[in-house]
Amino acid sequence: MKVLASYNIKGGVGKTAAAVNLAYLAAQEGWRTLVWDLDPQGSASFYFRIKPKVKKGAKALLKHKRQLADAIKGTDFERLDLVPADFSYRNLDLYLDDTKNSDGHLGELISQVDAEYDYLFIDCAPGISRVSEAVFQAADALLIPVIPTTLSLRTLKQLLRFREKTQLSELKLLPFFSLVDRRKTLHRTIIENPPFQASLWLKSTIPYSSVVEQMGTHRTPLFCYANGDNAAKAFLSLWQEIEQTLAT
Amino acid sequence: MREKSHSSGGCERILLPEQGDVGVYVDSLRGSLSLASASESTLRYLVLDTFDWRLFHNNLQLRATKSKDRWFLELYLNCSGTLQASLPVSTLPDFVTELAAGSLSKQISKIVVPRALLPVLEFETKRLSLVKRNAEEKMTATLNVDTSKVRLPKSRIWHSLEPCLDVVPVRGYPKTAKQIRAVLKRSPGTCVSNVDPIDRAVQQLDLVSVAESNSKCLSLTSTQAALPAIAQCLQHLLEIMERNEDGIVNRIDAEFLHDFRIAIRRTRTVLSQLDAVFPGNLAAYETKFSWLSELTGPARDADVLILKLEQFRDMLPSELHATLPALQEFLQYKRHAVYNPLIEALQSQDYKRFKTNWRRFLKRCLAQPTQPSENLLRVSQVANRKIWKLYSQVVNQGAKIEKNSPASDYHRLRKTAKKLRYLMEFFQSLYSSDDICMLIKETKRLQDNLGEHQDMEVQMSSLTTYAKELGTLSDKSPDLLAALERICRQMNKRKRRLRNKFRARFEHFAVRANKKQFKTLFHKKSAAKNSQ
Ligand SMILES: Nc1ncnc2c1ncn2[C@@H]1O[C@H](COP(=O)(O)OP(=O)(O)O)[C@@H](O)[C@H]1O
Ligand SMILES: [Mg+2]
Repeated sequence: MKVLASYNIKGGVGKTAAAVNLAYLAAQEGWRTLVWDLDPQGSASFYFRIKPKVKKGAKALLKHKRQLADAIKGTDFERLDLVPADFSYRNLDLYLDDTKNSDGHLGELISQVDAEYDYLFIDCAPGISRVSEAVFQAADALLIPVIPTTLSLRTLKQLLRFREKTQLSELKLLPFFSLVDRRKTLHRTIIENPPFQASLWLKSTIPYSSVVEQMGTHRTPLFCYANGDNAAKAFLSLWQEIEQTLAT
Repeated sequence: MREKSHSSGGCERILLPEQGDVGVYVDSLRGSLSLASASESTLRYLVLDTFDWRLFHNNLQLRATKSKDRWFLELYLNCSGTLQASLPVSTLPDFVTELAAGSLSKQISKIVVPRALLPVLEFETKRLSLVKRNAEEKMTATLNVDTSKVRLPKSRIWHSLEPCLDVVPVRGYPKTAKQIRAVLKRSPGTCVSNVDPIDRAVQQLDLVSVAESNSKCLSLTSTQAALPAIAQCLQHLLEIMERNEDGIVNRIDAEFLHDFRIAIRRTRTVLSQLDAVFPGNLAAYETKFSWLSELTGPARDADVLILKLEQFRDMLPSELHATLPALQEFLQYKRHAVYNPLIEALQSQDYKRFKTNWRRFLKRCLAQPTQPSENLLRVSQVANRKIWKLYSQVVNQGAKIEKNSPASDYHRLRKTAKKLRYLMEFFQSLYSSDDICMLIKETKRLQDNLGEHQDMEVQMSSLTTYAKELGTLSDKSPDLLAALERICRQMNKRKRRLRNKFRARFEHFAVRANKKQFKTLFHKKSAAKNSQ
């Protein structure tokens, strides 16, 4: 099972939009796919119309009182399942502190469903915390949506530095530009001359599109109501690029 | 893996009332269960399995669905319909080894290898899906009304299966499906069936015999006259030969030839050991069967070398691993060449005529009275006498073998032990199954040692010949030669180890307890006479 975490220190950059839509594409392609909504706000759960509730909460999972598999809910789509968010996730840091080897612990939990799925998408809460460190340990790659503004780039820099410090060299970082508005000069300039090394960035970008915003009213991945839209095409091309990158 | 929600429904499918219109029934369901409106879809998929349905026998179903420019492979647990693994591929695989390493290949390799995967059935299912949603408009169960037809992949004729209804729970929402099932079971005319559509297809297409295990034993009774009983078994062996011919001719996988050869060897054992039972002279048939053995030998040897490629990898240091593709290509080329004359022979008039004669002969034998008389032996007498004799031979030959005896001595013992095992298996149904199975197992253990020893001999000699041949080629690769030499050296080591182990194995086989057991089962002259 490949573990991909949709992550950024910042909120509102398109992490959840990416996790939900990319997971949908993976499942469509034939892969058994699981999304773990790790953000206590529960947006991913909301998009799949699943109650943001895990019986007995995060603590029971981390203490092995309950199996991760028992928390899984099927979505309306074939091969696509979800571990819902839960309000208790806001205390995940504390529970992780409680357990020995807290960073490896999440990976161990995830390994329970290793044989059942081909892909796991983790939709992370913003911020950098104990939880995000544990996610970095467990993940094969981080999908990092970045809005092409100076401020956003700063947070990416923080993340790059953090990776160096924590010796997570195995972890692939896959940043891509999100919420791109081509009418804005700043957006255009940054995308044409991406900072750090150009090779760091995925080529595909996700445009700013009202269709993506409408996921909130449709409560489905956007392919179910706007399959031909540019944003849909952008996610498809992003997914293909991610698959290729992971294969090498 | 764990699939709690699914197990609540288990295998249950619901068969619709025989009479009446499916559409009308569905409409009424929609009302009474307040289900969201139906969507229609058509599912077309192939079921892939080995020639002898190994996945089916292991309760698995491998479906291949074409979608645009590629295929989805999905592995289901039969009956419960739980998805075990899935994998998108660009072309249908002939062998599991062609699949990317992962969950799917891991789950089926052990079962399938070395057989090829073939399309065995083609399904077309018209599916009406009704959906149950909760207050959030979230789907919590699906009710599929499937009208399926099925056919053999090369056939034009579709067979319709009875429409059936399947309540599919959504994971994590087991209650809804349970409730729907409860309602359906109460509704008049429906009946619950535990049968997977593939089982119904197998029944309807009359594939039961194919789908049944290949190695079925014939059951004999000890008071039967020997001749017709034995002829019946030989007829079964002829059927096995014929069943495997196509697979050999079309070069599908190595198992066809393997099974073909085992049937020949078993037949030859019967002809040579039980010749006294038959009327007339068997020489003509024996000659033909021995011809077939010789004809198929080199092809089997070539197959085995290719099947061993993975083991060769382990025998080579990593710097020689790069030679493996070239070695594989060379071995495949060799195999292609040795299969040619064999295929020609199997398609020849001569071979067909031989089979016709052989079949006629067996028919005549079958027409003999089934009750033993003065001059017709009972089958159990024949079996006891011959098995006891072979057992004694094995013990005598084995006692004389030493670590440095020539390979031919080992080979001779191996052949005798094999005959012993074949006869015991052939007559298995005459004896208490625990007793005879134990002795067959003991014999097999001895044989495994001898068999591997002989395999090493044969393979080393093939590889040495190949090495010489490669040495004379202009574009010879020094690495490939080095690899071959290395493999031979490793095999030689293994051979020595087997020889070292032989004594212990043989002594284990020849222990008094076994001897006593053989004696009780097969050497009971007085008892046999008394019961007449
Ligand atoms: N490509 C996009 N175009 C327009 N709006 C977007 C796009 N991606 C996300 N949004 C909107 O921006 C908000 C934040 O997106 P979300 O995916 O939830 O970000 P995050 O998970 O990083 O907080 C949501 O209201 C979402 O609908
Ligand atoms: Mg989010």
